[in-house]
Amino acid sequence: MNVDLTQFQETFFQECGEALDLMEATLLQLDIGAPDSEMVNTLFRGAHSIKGGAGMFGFAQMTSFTHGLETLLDGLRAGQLSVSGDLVELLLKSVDALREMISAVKGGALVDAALVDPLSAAIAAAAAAPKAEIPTAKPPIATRVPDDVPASPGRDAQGHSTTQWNIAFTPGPALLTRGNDPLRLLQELGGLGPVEVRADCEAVPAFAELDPEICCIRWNVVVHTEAPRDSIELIFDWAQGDCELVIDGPHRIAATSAPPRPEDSQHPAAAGAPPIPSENAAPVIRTEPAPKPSPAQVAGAADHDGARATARDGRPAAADAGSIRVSIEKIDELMNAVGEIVITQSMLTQQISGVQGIAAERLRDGLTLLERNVRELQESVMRVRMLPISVVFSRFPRLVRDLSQRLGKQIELKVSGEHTELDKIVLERIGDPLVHLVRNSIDHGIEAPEIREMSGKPAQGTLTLNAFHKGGSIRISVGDDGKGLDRDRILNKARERGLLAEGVALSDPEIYDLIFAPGLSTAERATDVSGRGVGMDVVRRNIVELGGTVDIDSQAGQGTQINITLPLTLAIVDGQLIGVGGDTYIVPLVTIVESLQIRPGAVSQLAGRGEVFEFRGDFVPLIRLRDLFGSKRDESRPDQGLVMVVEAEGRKVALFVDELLGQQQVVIKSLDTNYRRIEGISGATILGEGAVALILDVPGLIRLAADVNSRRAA
Amino acid sequence: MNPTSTASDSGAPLGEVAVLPGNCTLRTADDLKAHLLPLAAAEGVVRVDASRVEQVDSAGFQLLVALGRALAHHGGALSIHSPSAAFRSAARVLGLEFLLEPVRAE
Repeated sequence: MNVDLTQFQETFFQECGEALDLMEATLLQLDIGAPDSEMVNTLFRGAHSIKGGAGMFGFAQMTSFTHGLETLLDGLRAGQLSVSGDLVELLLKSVDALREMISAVKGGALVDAALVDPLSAAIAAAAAAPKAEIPTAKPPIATRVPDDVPASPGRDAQGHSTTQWNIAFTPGPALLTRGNDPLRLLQELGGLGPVEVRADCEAVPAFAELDPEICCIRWNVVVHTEAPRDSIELIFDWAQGDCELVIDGPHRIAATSAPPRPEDSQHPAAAGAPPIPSENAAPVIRTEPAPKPSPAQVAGAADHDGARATARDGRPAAADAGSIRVSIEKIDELMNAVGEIVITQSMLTQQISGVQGIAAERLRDGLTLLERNVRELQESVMRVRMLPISVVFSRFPRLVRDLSQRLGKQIELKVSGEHTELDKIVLERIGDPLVHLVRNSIDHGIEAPEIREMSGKPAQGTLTLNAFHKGGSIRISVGDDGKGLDRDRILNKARERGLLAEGVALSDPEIYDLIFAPGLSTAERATDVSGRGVGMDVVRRNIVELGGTVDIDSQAGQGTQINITLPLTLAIVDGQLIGVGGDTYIVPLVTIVESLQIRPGAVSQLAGRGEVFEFRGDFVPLIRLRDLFGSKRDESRPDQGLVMVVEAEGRKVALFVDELLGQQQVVIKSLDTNYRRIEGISGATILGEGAVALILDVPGLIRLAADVNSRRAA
Repeated sequence: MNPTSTASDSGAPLGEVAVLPGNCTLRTADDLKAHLLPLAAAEGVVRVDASRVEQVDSAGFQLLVALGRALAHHGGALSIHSPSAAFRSAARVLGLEFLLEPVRAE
């Protein structure tokens, strides 16, 4: 048997990512000098949970690195170390290093030791540096205490805690196969303080019937520790849902009856301590805390109950029992199933349309109700795919901090609308363009403090990130109060590069729009942060590929704002239904410029370039969809029909269609997955009556038209 | 690791001897069970040499617990010999140190 843990690795990587994001966000908010204890706890928990997972999967480098980090954070929790700017910097670097380790182990590699070792050494040095100036009010970390120390509050004469927790731990059937070995869990419990472990083997089946993958031994453990309940729960964090856990306590016991010494380990029940019920318990074994106790879970004990309440709130969302992690494929399956229900329901409605009578009426009422419920169901499934944009925005505080430090600028980041939700796929693909825009604002937009002051602005610049819903779209804006775009410089550059003919007059928005042209960078000098002119055209292309648009608003000396409009989802599209040769097609509404009745004489034949349509003083290529799709052409009325002018990637094309049918939101089904890729078609949908309609890919159609025309020319 | 019949050093009734492999964890638990299965029906004291064990976890220990119970069912016993440091330490953590107690010959 070979238990395959790799299936859980992806979850671990995701949870690591979340824990690191949370740690980073917390570090950026940490108040130097007077850190919030809850925040320090959050940092500790992040490192601890990564360590636990890394250990489970055998990622030794990550385990040992996070162990050092945990020790350092323990020192912070215990109030033994103070938070300095340097320490925050070190911790941020550690977060980066862990990210690299995760991406390395994903590829089955290790991060270069030359990168990790100095950082580990710095962490160890920081952890060893005692906080001299501020005496700590908290108890020191519980390491091994000499036998002759006098009893202190909360400790007996041996230095053992007089607080005990009784833990009943019953593994579930999947505990072992999910990589949670009770041995490791019990070892970690031993790290909190002296433990007495009773193994109850009564439920272990006969040898022949025993499934080695299912742990049937139960444990009752008494832990003597000042650590809060949270520290105990944290140990079982990864086993949540795979075991029954009862944590009873804390119980205060008389100092004299504190845990037994090793030599009397056969007589464990300390006077005053509630006995652990276990009829078939094996002899009690008591284990000493590990030589290097994972410690200051103990030290955090001073704020005990307080810590318990606050620590819960700061817990990363991944550990929240109120949410589950579902793959996007499963949601898509659900979406497809809902689509099928819609079709079935339409079919039923059609079949009953001619039927009369009371029974038919009732059936129709039922179908109306079904239609409403299905619509609600469809909307609910759509909502499941939505995530708040904070998922993307959360990377910017760090980016702004690092870049502004590097460039010697003072920048305040203001984020609003971070709870605005959009489709997960859109969210994933908008991250990089946004990073580029933010880098540009910091590098080229916001001026150095002395320059700002000279022009009467505050030394600190402001970068704003905003997101909000507008109609069926989401608007995201990246704004700064920097120097604004240099209109003349852009014009000159565009002319230099031959992007613009001499003497062409452009409006300001049109000039600003030029910065999205390939090969145009107006930065006085290119830096490694941004500005080789290879970025902005890529930004626009990414946004356009998502079905979005981008525009710029800029005022010289006052700043620039870049506005992105994106569809809320890629799973549905607002479409215009058109009829061509008896079939129905869908054109995405966002690409349509205008639909108009064709005028006699408006279509001309250009030698070698096919037909063109005269549209507002310009000529645009005309595509007869009937010809393109091989539908039967109505030769008798060559000019009968409608022209729909569509635009994509800055090019317009006129589509000759038979009729406009109506507008509706349609669920996009992939043709690539279900059939194969077809140029000019971006997907398909199933209409209410069950008919399949193809969704036109306007950029693809434009390319197709160009190909057809060039073949004609040849 | 094939169990073989031998006489007990301590003069206990004839029993079986098995040597535990270096890895006695969940990953190898099916193999371990298959190896120990013939011993479960043995009579008298079954001696298991744990000196080579480098890795052991709860799954490995559970098999030994089940083996011990099976032997006890028909009057036998499991005697674990020369436990390695890893084995001894894991037994202590799991509260299963009783497995290491010497078995007195009846």
